[in-house]
Parts: sequence; structure tokens; C-alpha cells
Amino acid sequence: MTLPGKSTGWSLLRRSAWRYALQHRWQTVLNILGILIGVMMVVAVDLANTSARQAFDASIEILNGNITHQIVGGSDGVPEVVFTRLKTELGIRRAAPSLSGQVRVNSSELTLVGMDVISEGSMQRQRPGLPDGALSVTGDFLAALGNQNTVILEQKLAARLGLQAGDDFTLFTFSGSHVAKVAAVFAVPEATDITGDILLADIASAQNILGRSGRLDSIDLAFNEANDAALNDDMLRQLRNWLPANLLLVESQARNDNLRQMSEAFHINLLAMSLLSLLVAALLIYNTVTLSVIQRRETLGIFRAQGVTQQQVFTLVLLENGVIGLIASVLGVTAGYFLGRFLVTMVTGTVDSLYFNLAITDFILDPLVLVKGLLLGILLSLCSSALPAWYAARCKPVTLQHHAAQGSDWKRFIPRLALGGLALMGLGGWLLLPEYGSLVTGFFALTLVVAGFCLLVPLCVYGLLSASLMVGSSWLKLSGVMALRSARSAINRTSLAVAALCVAVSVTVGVGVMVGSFRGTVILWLEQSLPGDIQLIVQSAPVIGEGISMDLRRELADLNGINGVHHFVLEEIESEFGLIRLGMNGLPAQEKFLIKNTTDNGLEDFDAGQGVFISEPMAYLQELELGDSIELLTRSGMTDFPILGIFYDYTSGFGMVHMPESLYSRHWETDLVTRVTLELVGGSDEATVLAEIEALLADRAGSYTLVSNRQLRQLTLQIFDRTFAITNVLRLLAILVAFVGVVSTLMALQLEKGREFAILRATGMTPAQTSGLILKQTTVLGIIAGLLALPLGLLMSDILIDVINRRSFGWTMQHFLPERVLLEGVLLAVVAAVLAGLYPAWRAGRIKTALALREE
Amino acid sequence: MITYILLNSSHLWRNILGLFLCAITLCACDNTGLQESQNPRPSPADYLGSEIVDGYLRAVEPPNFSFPEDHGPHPGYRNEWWYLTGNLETETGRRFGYQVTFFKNALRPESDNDCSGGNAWCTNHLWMGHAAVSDIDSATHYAAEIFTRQEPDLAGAVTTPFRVWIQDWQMFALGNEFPWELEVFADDFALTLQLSAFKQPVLQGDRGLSQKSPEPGNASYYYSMTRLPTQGQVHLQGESYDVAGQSWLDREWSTSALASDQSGWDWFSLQLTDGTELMYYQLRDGLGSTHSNSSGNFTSLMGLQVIISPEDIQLEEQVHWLASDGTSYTTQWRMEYADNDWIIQAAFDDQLMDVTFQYWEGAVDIIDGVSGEKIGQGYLEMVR
Repeated sequence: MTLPGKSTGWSLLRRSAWRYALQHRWQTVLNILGILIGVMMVVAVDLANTSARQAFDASIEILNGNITHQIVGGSDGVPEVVFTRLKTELGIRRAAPSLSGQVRVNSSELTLVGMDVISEGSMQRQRPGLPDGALSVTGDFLAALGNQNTVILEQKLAARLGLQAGDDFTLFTFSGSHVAKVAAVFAVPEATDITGDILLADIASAQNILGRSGRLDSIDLAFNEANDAALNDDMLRQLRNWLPANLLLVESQARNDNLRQMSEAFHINLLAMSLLSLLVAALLIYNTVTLSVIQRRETLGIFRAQGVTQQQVFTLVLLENGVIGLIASVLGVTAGYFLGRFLVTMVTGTVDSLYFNLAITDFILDPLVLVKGLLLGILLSLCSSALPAWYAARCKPVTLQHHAAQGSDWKRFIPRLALGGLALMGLGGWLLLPEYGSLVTGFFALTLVVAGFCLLVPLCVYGLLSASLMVGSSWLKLSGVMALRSARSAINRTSLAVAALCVAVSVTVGVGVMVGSFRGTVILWLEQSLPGDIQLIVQSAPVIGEGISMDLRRELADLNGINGVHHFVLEEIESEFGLIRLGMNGLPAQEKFLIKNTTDNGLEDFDAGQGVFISEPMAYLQELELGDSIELLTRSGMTDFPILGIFYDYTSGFGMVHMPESLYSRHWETDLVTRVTLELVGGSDEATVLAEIEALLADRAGSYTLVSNRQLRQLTLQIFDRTFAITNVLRLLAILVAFVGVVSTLMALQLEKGREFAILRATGMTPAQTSGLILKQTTVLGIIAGLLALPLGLLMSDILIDVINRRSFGWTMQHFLPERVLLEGVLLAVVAAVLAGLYPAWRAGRIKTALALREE
Repeated sequence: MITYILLNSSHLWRNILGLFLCAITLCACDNTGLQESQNPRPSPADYLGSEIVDGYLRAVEPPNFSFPEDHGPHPGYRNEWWYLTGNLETETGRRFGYQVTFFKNALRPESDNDCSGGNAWCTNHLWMGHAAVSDIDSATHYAAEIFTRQEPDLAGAVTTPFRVWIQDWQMFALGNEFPWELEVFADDFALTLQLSAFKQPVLQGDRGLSQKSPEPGNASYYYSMTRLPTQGQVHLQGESYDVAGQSWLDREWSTSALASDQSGWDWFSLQLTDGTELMYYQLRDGLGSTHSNSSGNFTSLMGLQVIISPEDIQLEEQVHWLASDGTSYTTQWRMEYADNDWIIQAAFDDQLMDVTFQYWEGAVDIIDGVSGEKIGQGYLEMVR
């Protein structure tokens, strides 16, 4: 045999690598699959996030156009005379009035939008993403301008309502019924994906129909950003001074940024979850590559003897995995693209229900995301295989290393590893301590805790195996003892397998417990905050004379089958932090909310009308504490309200303020409310009562929505499930990665022990006994991994619930322990372990004893 | 959808402008199938077309003007304007030309307007304001336009005391009669001027009835204040200039003025240093020839008036200037009237009103054709 030269060495290595990949195609497939799923998840989540963010921006852009500021009032809006004075006295050109409200036409609920097209023209609002196509109009468009009760509407909506240009029709609003004329019908370009049912009207008609003469919702302003900033500041200051006290000048950009920041927490969460799956994928790659190196160490040793250099071997292993990484990443990016298309609806759904009603939910393909995914996959593959490659390169020529020795070497490291693990976990725990930390630190700490726990795994595995041997050696059969011993002796491999399995399973446990706890909390909160059986809702603001009157409340109370009527108000108002939700109900404080904490006598003070309660997310996001106060825009301008307590609330990402009735009626001067809940007399039929109420409302002006609280709770939970659907999908995918990882890890372990089994066979063990031994061993390891995954999973869920979620959303959740999730976790670990043992068991049974032994 | 419409409002806006024209002139559209207008920019001539007239008052009989009442608005007609032009100068001799116009347009006849609900926004009029300053020394022209609906008091005109305004642009009488104050604020410039009356109003055409085409009713009521001594400030580029000079006010209201074969005009308002003034408009047909309803008026120092008909005057186009859209405007004219031979010369070429309705409106010098001496100044408007 001639010594191969450098090039021959390469070709030798290449052919060997290729042959190995072919022979062990399942291993290769598993390896590819691991990277594929990891990359797919990262790419999909990243794409979905990108799309959702852009949808968010585009929607805000669409709503606001180039509006830079808004003049807003309390919930009764802005007097129109302010608009006139703004234009004639201050000469502000780019200002437009805005007014909208709910109307009912033929039992369809529609939004009537009032605008002044002439002002809109001067605003030059832009509309991104929409074709600059023609509006084709039928009818007399101009007739809609400045005339009484004329509207224009889009063709499809007109068809649905059975209306065409020139038709008269009846609209129902709180101010009564109105006859309006369709002045014109327009068609928008086919490709334009628009949703919502909108009637457009001139401000004059809109005010008439909505019964809001003299009032505007807001005045939108578009200051020229190109102007000198100092000039703008000066103008803004003048404008602020000029405005009456009960009107506010708010900056649209600041509002949008606020909104954007809040939803960003959600995107970080998703990305972190997807990166976690990539971590599991990294463990998997490390395993597979190590396995491939172990299996080939004899071959590699021979090659080395033939003059192949260490560097060549190192490069080969890296190259191999680079190629596998490339293939897997390409596949992963492709799969991620498709998964991303699917996820985007989920992500936007969540953003929709948590933060902001998105007008556009297009899937946007950002090529950068694909490139990132590709690089990430390859890099991950190279990094995770670097250690095994280095190990392969160290294979001494010809001489075959003794592996048992290596295992026992490893034993000495176990306590050191455990100490390091404890240190990491301690550091993570320390990072988690501050109540108001950053979200990224939170995730970093979580990673430290998980990594630290992994380092503890070898000690745990060793301990558990030893303990089992001590306790069970009397009744364990020989094969059982052997299985445990063999697992213990190869602690380096077994603990790795157990750690990988444990992390993967713990992710599913942690996230499962977190979502379960959240759901449980929401259910608990729903019970508390949705008293009664039936709710009557109006979409309105009581201060402008729309709402459920005292008379109607009395009439409802007099109906048969109704035990009690509670009224409350839920509306959006301006505050020093922008638009927030204001709640008021007639119940005493204790029955009203899930209270987190209050000042001394907070409850009594609240009932006495001394101040307000704020929701937990608001306290968290705005860093408000008991005893602080919050400024709200009331009828008489910005007013300070002391904060007496904080309550749990899960309805909105922004925050909510609850106010006692006495305070509300004092500052808003109305007894109208937006909601009424009705308690039924025990045993009365909900459907009958509903029909009765409907009859009562039938000839009443205004648009009411009647829902049963049971349905509302269901609906809320549906929204909740929709919000967290993405989390469940990611959890499922994490399980998949975990499974692939575990199968390959355990396979690596068993294949490595091929020689050991051959000896056993040679000393008289039957093939069935050998297979049984392997299965027993993997089952035990699976159980250990499953058991270890429980504390780690619970730890993770605690971190997710108490740190990550608080830092993301400001929500405190009650801890619920869904046993099913725990059971599933252990079961998952065991099933994965058993399945992973099947192939090695089958192989060990068929092992050619002589051949295997020849290596000894 | 709401969002779509709101964002589409720039688009709606164009359509409204288009409809503005359609409704007023019914040029070619019949209120159906309004598509994105591919037409070149509308000309003010479109705006004075004459199709929809039912329900409006019309200028048929010679009027019986009474001042100061007739300085105020004349409801019932489709359009009306207050049109100021002038030449101003600082003490050091820096020259400015200016024009300010308040255009008022009815959306529909009063009888068709239902504002019975008493809503403050219910509106029947749209207003358009134009303003420009010609900085003659630097040959720079600044122009601005604003649009608004009339209600709720965003624009309007009242008789006693006289006031006309569009947003923060306004012209108003300090007392019962002249002097008037003018205030105009645009992005690049502002005007704060005081106007006095040196002469009585000059009634154009037949005692104020200015026939624009042979068909009865295709006419406007038209008077001018031909010499308004003016002083005040021109604010330009952050600088204020104290100025004094002469202004000219044209007042016109009508329902339909131009016939369908009339496509534009050249309008001269000349103030001579000898204290006389001359107004002449030359209507053009589609081919660019002079229409027989062209007309003018010569006012003596003492206010005596002589009507000018097309045969009394000779106009020769001498120098042309091309706007960036290719429209040709005549920046030097030779005018022969009575024994006079004048050269009418633009103070500089580019005094184009580059706004929604495009036209050329600028300061001119009057030069004696024989002696070559400057003998007056004025304003020239060209609509093509």
C-alpha cells in the first residue's frame, strides 16, 4: 500500500464520508431533519413577526396618514367652532375634522364616517400599499357635499344593502331613525383588500345622522415635517396655549411608538421561543456528529495511519456538516416560508386582539429573513460539529481508543460540571430578581438557568442510576442491573442524551404550564368581571348622549325573569398616557375586580369616590404605584385622580382605569351607561328572557348588542385561544425537534455500545435478551429525562409566568398546574426513549458477534 | 375600508375638483363613470362655462349698482369674485407685483340646497383663494392657493361692514367705505396692505352688464376700482418691506359667462402715470382668434369713461414665453389705442400661476412706443 498524497488523502476522505452518509442514511436524515425544523421555526416566526410588524405600521400609517398631531377632547369630543377658529384665526391649513359613529341599516351594523373632503385635500394623506387606481363613481358625488343626510358607499356594500345611487333608506342611531339618500356609489379597485362596513358622509350629514351637532371626534393635523423644527415647536406651544383647557393636542407619533413598543414584547417572545428550538437543534447536531465520528473512529484512525493529517480530518468533519447544514438550511428556509405564511395569520390575530386592529394582514416576504435563516442553519451546524470534529482529528493512528476509560475520566468532571451548573443557575436567578428588568435580560437569564440545569444532569443521572442500583439490586434481574450499570458507565453519552431530552420536554412542560395558568387565570377573572347572565352593550360614549338610559334600565328590571340589573361603562378616554380604557360600574369594589393590592382603606375610599383603581398592566408599563395619581381628560379638562388600588386585568395591552360611579357622574355629568348586565331569576329560561328584551328594544332608537355572558365568556376564551394559538404551534414544533433529537442521541449511545453487546452475545446472551437489555436501558433513561424535565419545566414556567410575561405585558397570572401537561411530558420522554431504543435493539439482536469482537 | 377611503382622500379630492368643474361647466362628463382625470390641468376658462344655469340668477339686464352695498356678496349667482392686483415699491425702489383673489362658487342653486336641519356644516359654497407676489428685482414669482367649504364660517362675505374671507385670508372695510385692509398669509409670503379709493367705481360694459357672448345671460355684472392707493407691508422670505403703490380691484359675479366656443382671454389693467386707466379683455375662440365680445374701458383722470370695442384697439403679440407644460404666453404686446402706441411688457417672464387652475398673471410695464419711456404699469392676465 502506498502512502496517499495530500490529494489522494482528500479523495479517500471524501469517498469515505459519502459512503458513511449513504450507509447511515437514517442518521443523516435525522440530522438534516433537526436543522431543518430549527431553521424552519426561526424563519417562520421571523417572517410572521416581520409581516405583523409591517402590517402594524401600515395600519397605523393608513389610519393616520401623515397626521402628526390630533386635537382631542374628553369623550364628548371637540366643539366644531375650534376647527373654524383654527383655520380662520390661526391659519392652520392642514387640519381636517373627523367624526364617526355606529349606525344600523337593515339589521347590518355599519360605521358612518364623516369627513370634509375639502380639508382632506389639504391634508394630502397618503395611502401606502394601495394601487393608485380609479374610483369609479355612479351618482352625484357632489350632492353628498354639504347637503342634509346624504351618504356615499362602496359598491359591494351597496349591493349587500340593496341600495343604489339616488335611493332613500332608513338608518337607526341613538338619535333616532333618519332617512338618508345615497348620493353616489363608488367602486374601488378589485385588488384592494379592504374590510369593514363604512358609510361615508359629509361632516354635516354625519352630525345630523349621529345626532352630534356641534361636535367632532377630533381634529387631525399634519404639520409639515420639512419645516424648521424650532418653528414647529414654537407653533405647537402656541397652539397648546391657544386651546381651551378641556382639549388636548396629542402627538400621533408618540402614540404609535407607544403601541409599537408594547407589541414588540410579543414579537420578542415569539423569537425567543423559536431560538430555543434552535438550541435543541444544536444539541441534536452535536449528538449526531459525535455519533458519526465515533462510528468512524476506526476508519479515521486507519486514515490517519496512512498519513491523512489532523487538519484534514477536522476539515472533513466540518465540511461534511457544512454540506448537511446547507442542505438542511435550504430545506428549512423553504419550509419556514410556508409555515410563516400560515403563522402570519396567527401572529396578526394576536396583535389584533391584544393591541391594535390591523387593517392589512398581508404576508410580506423579507428576503433578509431567508438569508438570516440560511446562515444561521449553516453556522449552527458548523459550530455544533466543531467539538466532535476536533475529537475526530485527535484520533490516534491505528490505535483505537478505549472508551470505557473515557467514560470513567468523565466521572471526575461530574461534580465540577454540577458546581458550574449551580453557578449558572444562580447567576440566572440573580438576573431575574429585579421586578422591572428588561425582557432580553429575562430571556438571557432563562437560557442561563436551562444551561445550568443541563450541567446538573450528569450528576442527577449518575445519582439516580446509582440509587436505583442500590435500592433495586436485590429484586432487579441481572439484565436490569446490567442495563443500569452500562448506562452509568457511559455517563458521558447517557447524560448528554438525557439532557437533550430533558430540555426539549421541559420546554413543552414550561410553556404548557404557562399557557394553562394564563388560561386558568383568565377564566377566573372572567367569572369575577362578568357578573350576571345577560349583557346589553352599546358601542358609544355616554357623554355625547348615546347610551343606556336610566329609564331603559328600569324597564329592563321590571321584565319577568330578571332578578337584578347592574350597569357599567366601558369606554376609551384620553389620559396623560394617551388613549386608555375607562371602566365604571355600580358594584362595590370588592365584587368588582380581582384586586392585586390597595392603599390602606383603599376599598372604602374607592366606594366613597376618593379615587380610582388602575389595571396591573398599566401600573407595570407606566411604573405607577399606589398613592400616585393619574391625569384623565374629563369634561372640565385634565384632572388628577389618586390611585387607590391595582386590579388584575387581561383585556387590553394598554391598561384600564376603574372609577367609582359617584366620581364618574361628577366628572362626566351623565347617567347613561354603555353596558348593563342582567341577572336572571334562578331557573328562568335565558332564551325567553332574551326574546323579551329584544321585543323591548325593537322600536327603540340606537344600536344595541345583546349577548349572554356564557357566550361572552366562550368568546373571550376563543379570543384567548386564538391569541395563544401561535404558542401552541411552536410548542408542538419544539416537541418534534425534541423527539428527533432524542431518537438520534439514544441511537448514538446504543450504537456506540455495539461491541459491548457483542461480548454479551459471545458470553451466551440470546439476541432477545440483548434487545431487551437495550430497551430497558433506554426506558430507564427516558424516565429519568422525563422526571428531570418536570422540575426544569416548572422552573421554566415560573420564569415565564412571573418574569417574562410580566416584563412583556405586565400581567400577573395565577399559577395553575395542569397535571395533563406534566403527565404528557413524562410520557413524551419515555415514548421517545423507547422508540429511540427500537432500532439499536433490533440491530444488537442481529449483531455478528465475531465481526464485532474482532475489533477488540 | 374607512382607512382606504381616508387615504384615498387625496384621490377623492382630485375627483371633487373634477366634479367641481363638471358640476359647474358640465364640460364633458355627465356625472357618471367619473374616472381618474387624465386631462391636463383645468383652465379657469372651464370654470366659467355655461351649461347648468337652471335655478341660478343670471346677468341679463343692466344693473343698478349701489355702493358700498355692491362691494358685498350677491347670492343666487353661481360664482363671484374679488380680484385685486397691484404694483408696489419700497422707498429704495425695490418693486413688487401682487394679486389676491377670493373666488366663491355655488355647489347648487339655493332652491336645491337643503340646510333645513340647521347644521352648521351644511354648505352650498366652495371658496378658492389665489395669491401671488412677483419679486421683480429677482424675477421670482411666489404663488399660493387655498380651498375651503364656506361653512361653518370657514369662508364668506358680508356686506356691512364689508368683509370677505377664506380661512385667515381676508379683506375688510375699516369703516363703512374705504379704506380696506387686506391680509394674506401664505407659506412663502404674506401681504398686509391698506387700500384707499382714489376714484369712483368704473362700471364695465353696459352700465355694469358685461356681455361675454351673444346669447342673453352669458354675461356678468362687472365693475372695477381702477386706482386704489395702497400702502403696507410685503413679507417675503422672512423679510418685511414697507411698500406703497397702486392697486386695482375687479368685481364680477355671474352664472354663465363664456360660450362653448370661447377658450380663454387676455386681460389688461393698465394704470398710466397721467392718472388715466385702461381695461381691456380680449376673448379668444378655440382657434385663438379674437371674439367679437371682447371689450374694454378707458377712464380719464376725472373719472370719465369711454367704452372700447375690438375695432377701437389693435393688439399685436410680440414676444412669447413657453411654460414648462408647453403653453405659450405672450410677454410683450404692442397696443395701439386712439393716438397711443404702447409696448406692454411683462416685468419678467415667469409669472405663471402654477396652481390647480393654471394661468399667467403678472406685473407689466407700459412703454411709450415712440419715446421709449415708461409711462405706467399694470397687470396682465392670460388664460389659455
